[in-house]
Amino acid sequence: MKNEALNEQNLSQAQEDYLKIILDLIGSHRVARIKEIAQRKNVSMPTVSEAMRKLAQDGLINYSAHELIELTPQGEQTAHQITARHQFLRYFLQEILNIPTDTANAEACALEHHLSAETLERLILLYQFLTNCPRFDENLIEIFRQCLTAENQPDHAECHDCFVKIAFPHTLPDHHTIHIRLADLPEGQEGVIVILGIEAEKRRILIGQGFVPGATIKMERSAVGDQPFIVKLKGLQSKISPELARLIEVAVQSENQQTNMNTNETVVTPSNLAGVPTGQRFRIKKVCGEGEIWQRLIDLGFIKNEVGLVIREALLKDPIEVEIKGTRVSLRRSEARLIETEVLN
Amino acid sequence: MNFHRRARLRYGHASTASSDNATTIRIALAGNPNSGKTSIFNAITGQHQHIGNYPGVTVEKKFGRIRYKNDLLEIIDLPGTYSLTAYSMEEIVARDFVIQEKPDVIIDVLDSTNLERHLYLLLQFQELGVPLVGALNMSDECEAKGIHVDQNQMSAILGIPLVKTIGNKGSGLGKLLDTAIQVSKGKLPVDQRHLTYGDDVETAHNQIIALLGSDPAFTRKYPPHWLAIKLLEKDRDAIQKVQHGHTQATTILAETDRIRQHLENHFKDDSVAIIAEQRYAYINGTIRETVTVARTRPAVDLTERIDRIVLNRFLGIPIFLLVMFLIYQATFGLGNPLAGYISDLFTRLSEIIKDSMPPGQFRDFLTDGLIAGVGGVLVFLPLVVLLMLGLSLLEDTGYMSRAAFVMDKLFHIFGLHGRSFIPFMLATGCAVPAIMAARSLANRRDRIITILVTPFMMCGAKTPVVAMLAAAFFHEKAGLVFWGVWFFGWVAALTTALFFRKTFFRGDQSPFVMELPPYRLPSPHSVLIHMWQRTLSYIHKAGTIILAAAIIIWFALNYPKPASTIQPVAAHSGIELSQSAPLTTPEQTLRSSFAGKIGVGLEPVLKLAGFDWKLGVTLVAGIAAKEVIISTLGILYGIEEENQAPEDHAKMTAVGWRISRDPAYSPLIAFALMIFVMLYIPCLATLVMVKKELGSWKWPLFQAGYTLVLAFLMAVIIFQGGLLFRSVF
Repeated sequence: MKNEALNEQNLSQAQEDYLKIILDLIGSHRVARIKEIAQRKNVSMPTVSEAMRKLAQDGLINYSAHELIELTPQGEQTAHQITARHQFLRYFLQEILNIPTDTANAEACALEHHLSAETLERLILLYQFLTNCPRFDENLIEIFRQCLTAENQPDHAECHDCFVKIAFPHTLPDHHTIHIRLADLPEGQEGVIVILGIEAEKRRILIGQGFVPGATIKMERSAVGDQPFIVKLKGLQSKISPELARLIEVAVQSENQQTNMNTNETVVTPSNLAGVPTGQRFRIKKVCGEGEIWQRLIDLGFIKNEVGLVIREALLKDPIEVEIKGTRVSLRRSEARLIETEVLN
Repeated sequence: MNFHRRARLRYGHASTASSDNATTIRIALAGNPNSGKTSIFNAITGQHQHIGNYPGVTVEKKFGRIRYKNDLLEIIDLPGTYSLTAYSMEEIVARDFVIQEKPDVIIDVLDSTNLERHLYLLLQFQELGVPLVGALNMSDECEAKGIHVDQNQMSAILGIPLVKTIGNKGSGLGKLLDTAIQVSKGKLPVDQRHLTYGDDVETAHNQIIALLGSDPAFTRKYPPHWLAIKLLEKDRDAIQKVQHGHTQATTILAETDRIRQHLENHFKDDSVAIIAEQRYAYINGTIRETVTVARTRPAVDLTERIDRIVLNRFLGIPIFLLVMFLIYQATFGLGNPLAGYISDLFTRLSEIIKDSMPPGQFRDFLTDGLIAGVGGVLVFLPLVVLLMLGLSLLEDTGYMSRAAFVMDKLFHIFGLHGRSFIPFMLATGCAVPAIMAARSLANRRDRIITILVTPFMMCGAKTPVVAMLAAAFFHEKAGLVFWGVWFFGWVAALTTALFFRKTFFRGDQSPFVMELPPYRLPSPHSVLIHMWQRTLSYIHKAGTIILAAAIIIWFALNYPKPASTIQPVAAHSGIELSQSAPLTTPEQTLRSSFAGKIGVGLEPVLKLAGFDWKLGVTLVAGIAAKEVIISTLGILYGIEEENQAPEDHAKMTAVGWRISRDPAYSPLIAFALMIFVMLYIPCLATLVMVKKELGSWKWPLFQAGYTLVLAFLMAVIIFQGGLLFRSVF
């Protein structure tokens, strides 16, 4: 298949391969012989001869004397380009995506053939961004690598925040988008899949079933007991088990948030203080309740728009300690549930 | 007792009753808990403070009278509150005091490092329209944290004079008093402006004030400006005051409802929240203008560093147990020997009287009744004092709330508040200070339940009794049995608490939400004063009644005396006996006494639990103090007793040995007895303390009643059950 090739000559992938090999052989052996090319490419010598004849026609090589092949200036330039791009892509796959060498090699070849110049440039820019952008203090590549290795241990300390973020809903800085678990999506609500959890095995299953980031998903029927959720994915009805539904994070527009959630987890309405994890900052939207408890909360500084921080929780996760209005306050989770909040980053 | 330190002496000395014609200036001290108000109060009044009660309620009233420069000052320490709502007794007491007693000036003590919260209360006092002075306390901490408060600017904005103070060092207090006195005499211009909370609220506010104005007598009594805000806040107490006092009550309340509804619709929020938010907005505005932070506060201050350890999820409970253990050890380690000295002292006194007086009933009354009674009270004293010292330290340093945090979940399962744990822990030593410690529970229901159940624990007095019985009847299993009974104490207390929670004392859970104050080193002076107060209070209140009761029980155990048959003969023969020979055994004396008669009379009932009249008498005597059980048993078995400390092993084992030989008793009965002793009527000291803390005799009576019934039922079940078990197998 030939899409937009990298060079003006519209070379086939095979031809590009040949050029690479020839360049490589000349670099290491100083000459390129048909026999060696055939070995490298794992084809018969007549096949190679035929290919060489075509390349010579295109003005990329000099195929004159028996078996010896030279690159024309143009051929050399093209070969260098191809090789370089291949090399970068292989590097990208290996270093950033942590793909094993053999696979990286093979796929770099294929990729390089099919990618347009512009796409390749974007990839190079992405690589630069990840390694060099001065707005990040840390090496993002390094961190991503940790993500890759840690993904089979969801309780890994470094991944706690990510995992927790998937477990607890949070609002994005634009205040209009909320990320919640698919399992918490109310019936009739629609959202866009954002994250597929951090366990490789489960992720593969999800992808296989069509759940991918960017896909629009609508909750038709919530799960009851062990029954699966029924969702609509791209117009097609689909079932998903509660376990898997808990791994998917979905972005929802905040105005449409319903409050009636029926999950079988401990009751955590998407945005109250009891659901804010330790170490997280929050802003209070409203203080519900009535009577003495409500009054006490207000007296101690829990009012609308106040920003606070969850400091810690006791052994049995109850009570929790919170900083609000410059004071440390402790309260039971049942009391915290009365305070509607949104999580800040 | 010299508690005067350098600075304190300057401020005051006791005022004499006959003063010159200077009238007393009445100054009320208010502020949040943990604002350092108490330190200031202690520093100003020193020893000259008294503790009483606000009329009709069990909220403590602390006040002191001193002479300061040319004036007489009466300082009243109002209860520490975060706000002036109608939800707690403390708040109602504070505001009623201000409205009804009309003090000349109020000093609101503020923690300068946290004005965001502390000014909230100040605003509410301003709403009351009273002469006010603000104390910017803890100004040293403020400086250390790099927080700078523009005092003059803030004073101008708020419209009240402000004085910087450092309460626990006694600094700035002179200036504070001077300012307060000046305000009270009208010499300092205090801005009588009324706070406005935004136009909409203001309109509603004025409407209600106008309505209230229809009854001038009412508005003279209750400041309308304040009452109007409270009505907007649906304040229960305010509504009641209007209902019972205002001539146009029904109209006003209906109109107020309408006005409030209108306001709520406008803001789409609850009126209480609206007003609270307006207050905080006002505070934020003020702070923005006047408070600057010179450098960024360290992210992790000392309090946080300590909390990281103390409130660590896994270390929290062990650390707490360790702290309690240390307090416990210190208290009983130091207290027991001291108690021993006091006990010896009284024994010595008793001996002196025995030697110097002729034998006779009066002498017996003095030694066995009066001295033993007084001694019995004072023996508790070292324990009480030391425990109170430990508690004060825990509270004043700020650790108490951490402990409540750590233990809350566990206690919550039984319907109790995390703060109930301290009485529970203390009760394993002695129920008396445990009950005093229950004062830290804000909610009356929680307090009552805690007080009613903590005496179930195995205290220092029950320990020797149970130990003796265990050793005598269970030999090698004694340790296990002892531990089982100890554990049973906890089970009984917690289960009964849960039961009460679910039946008689049902109701909303009291709020747990509480402040965790920064750790502070309390001033030694303050702590000692704290301790001294509690001591005096204990001696005075408890002493009188316990003494009376002990005498009554002594009487019941010794009278009427059995008829003596020898004396008439001696009289006939003309021989004068210089000393009445003890021809009747102590056992016989006991049997013929009132207590003995009760014991004998109750025997048929007691038999259900396997007890006989001897145990009946013993248990009656045990109401005075549980240790008396051992000494009474000693009498019954003819073992010489002389107010010896029950820890005296020789006597204990002697009694135990004798009892175990008595065919009337068995391990089963002993076990029933142990449980009975754990549960039944708390000792006199405890009962008296219950009355004092809860305010009425109905509580100790109820407690005596239900514990007796419960104890008896348990004993019967154990005994009968055991018999059944044995007959079946």
